[in-house]
Amino acid sequence: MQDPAPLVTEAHDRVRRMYAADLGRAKEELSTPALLLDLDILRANLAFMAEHMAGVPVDLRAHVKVHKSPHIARLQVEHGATGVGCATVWEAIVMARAGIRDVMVINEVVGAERLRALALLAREAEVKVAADDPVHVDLLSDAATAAGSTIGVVVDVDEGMHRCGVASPEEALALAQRIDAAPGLRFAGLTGYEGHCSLEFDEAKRHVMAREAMALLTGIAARLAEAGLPCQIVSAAGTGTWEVTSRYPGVTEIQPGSYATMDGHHRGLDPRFGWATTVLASVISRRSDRIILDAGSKTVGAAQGVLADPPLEKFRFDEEHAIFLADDTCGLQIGDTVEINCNYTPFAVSYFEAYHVVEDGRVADVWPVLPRGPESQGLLDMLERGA
Amino acid sequence: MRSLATDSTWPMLDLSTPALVVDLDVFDANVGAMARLIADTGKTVRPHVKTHRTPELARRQLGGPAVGLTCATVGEAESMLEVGLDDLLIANEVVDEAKIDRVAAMARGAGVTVAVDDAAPAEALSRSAVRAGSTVGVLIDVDILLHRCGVGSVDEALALAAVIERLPGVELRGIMGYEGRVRLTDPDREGHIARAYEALTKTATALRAAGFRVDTVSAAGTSTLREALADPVITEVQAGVYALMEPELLVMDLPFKCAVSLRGTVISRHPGRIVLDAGRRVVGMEYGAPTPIGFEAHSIVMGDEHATITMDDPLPELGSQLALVPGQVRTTFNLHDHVWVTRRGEVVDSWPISARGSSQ
Repeated sequence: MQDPAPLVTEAHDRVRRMYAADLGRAKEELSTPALLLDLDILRANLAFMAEHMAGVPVDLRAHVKVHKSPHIARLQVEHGATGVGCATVWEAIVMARAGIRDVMVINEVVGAERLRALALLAREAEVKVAADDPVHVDLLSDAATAAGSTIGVVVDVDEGMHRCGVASPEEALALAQRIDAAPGLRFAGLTGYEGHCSLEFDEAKRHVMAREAMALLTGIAARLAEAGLPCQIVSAAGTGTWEVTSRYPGVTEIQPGSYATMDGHHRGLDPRFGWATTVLASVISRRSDRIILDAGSKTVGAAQGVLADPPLEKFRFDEEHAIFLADDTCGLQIGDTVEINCNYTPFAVSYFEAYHVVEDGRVADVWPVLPRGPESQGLLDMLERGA
Repeated sequence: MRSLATDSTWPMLDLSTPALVVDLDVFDANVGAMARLIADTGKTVRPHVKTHRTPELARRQLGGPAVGLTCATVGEAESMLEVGLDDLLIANEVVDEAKIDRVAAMARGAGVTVAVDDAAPAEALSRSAVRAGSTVGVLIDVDILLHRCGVGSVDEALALAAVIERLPGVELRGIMGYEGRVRLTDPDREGHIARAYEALTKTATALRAAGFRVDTVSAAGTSTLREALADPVITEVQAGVYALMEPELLVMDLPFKCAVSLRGTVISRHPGRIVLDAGRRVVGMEYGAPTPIGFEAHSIVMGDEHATITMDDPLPELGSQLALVPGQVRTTFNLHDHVWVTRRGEVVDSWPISARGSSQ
């Protein structure tokens, strides 16, 4: 892995300057709300995954859309991930500049700016992207040809979630042939996401559903191989199905993301991974029957969160407030801090610009959330300038 | 899901998506409609900027009966002061010392008022204001309906007022309460609002009878605007959503229209279904999926990065753009770094959402 480029080091310096006073402080003393990342729990999650991956002939492509952190992504690579998966072109640019060579946008890309950015990025990194329509292939081919680069393209297969993806082997084959023949493109294989399985909390049923999805995906891969288009990559899975999918013959890589930072939803699917991210909040009002915290749906997210220590019952989440029931047996007073465990971490990450990285109860570092929003924020210009 | 009924044309724009767009013609019309509603009531409006966290939009809401701004956080107030908007109410409790110091520092060059519901933060605020050489206004926060922050009884309010009155550097300017969104579907809507304003009246009356000054009685949001304007005790309303509007409020008898849309591009297309590149990472979901404009859909399912839309033929082409109106504009703005601004259907500017993420 290369060293991070200025894009990442400058963002890191900026948030370290912003929160300079917090470095070294005990987490209880931080200004709130703050997004905390427990480094020990994160490392344990990554090590647990690495240990499993060592025993299966499958690669790990860590999906970074959950955390949007080049620093966490680098740790994932240090723990054996062979590349990263991204939801947007902008995430892919950041991850490539974080020093990660193999980046795949596991999503369909259209739009002139984004196609141009992807094609320019392919000059400096091994870039792959998903497609499910001949129009994507033509757009990507034009962009790659104009930029003088080669983009790897995987055919996106609808494994039963009914979002993006081709639905039949015939469609997949026709698309793979078109990619194979298109200038500037390289047919790289298949991707699918069995996201519908992650809504099934009964593990046995979920595994049956995941195996059905993998039968579909690997069946298409076999069909393409027969037609002379072998799939270098057959990629699938999320944190709800990573283990069962990693053992399915014919799958070459898994693409989970939430396993690193975790949240309530994913712990319901796999409690072996620990809750590495929380939102630190302060008690700003203390009534006889309740406490009011200064973190609500604008920080924790629409999926809200729970208090584990102390384990209080939720009354309500508002935009800037969370209210928990607390009678006089609860010792919390105005100014005390507590950690809210998010039910869905991606929402919280979208609302913060930095993680307070906690080790042994103190702030060891501050890491940027990058890219933060849906916009280019100068990333295309940066690539155009060759900077 | 039916398309949102609207007078605007919602023209397609050539933007990199997902993109947040405000129609400034509609926004200005909403601000004008608020001024007309409030004229002759003798009351003022203090627009709540938590709605958009965008100083350029806040600036356009001021003037006439709009005398200053309401903020939910210290960070929002600082963002407004940075561009010279200097009459600020932080309608929330501020308790940690670092934030209290920021409030006291702001009050050196601006009119700053904060909500309090406990003696200890009021005392800390006093110490900080004395150190900073400033005067910070305070409103006693009264729990009138939400069971969130706020004193729970008239006696508590009287005791807190007595504490505040003795403190240097802070000045009691009145009371506030927030009844929250009270929907038409609330079976006891009238009762809830009446009891909330009765609690304000009792508290204001008791404080005045005890010799305390209560110049300001601040309350209400867009959903209770008509009731608040009709109530004699309230002197200023803290509404914010009115300027941008949310679809669920369109059923109310209010002269405001939706001014915000989220633009997404069709990135995938299948029989009976399209997928847009706009999901829950760019649209606030507290009030459910966004509403289509300019097209009809059978269903909209929101993933983190996608909106999966089922609809009848003819399906829009791959690469074409569609518009959705977010159900919750406040959290939606907090997910974007800037908002595109249109006039008569043309993009004329882009404004930073500078207080994005300013929950500290």
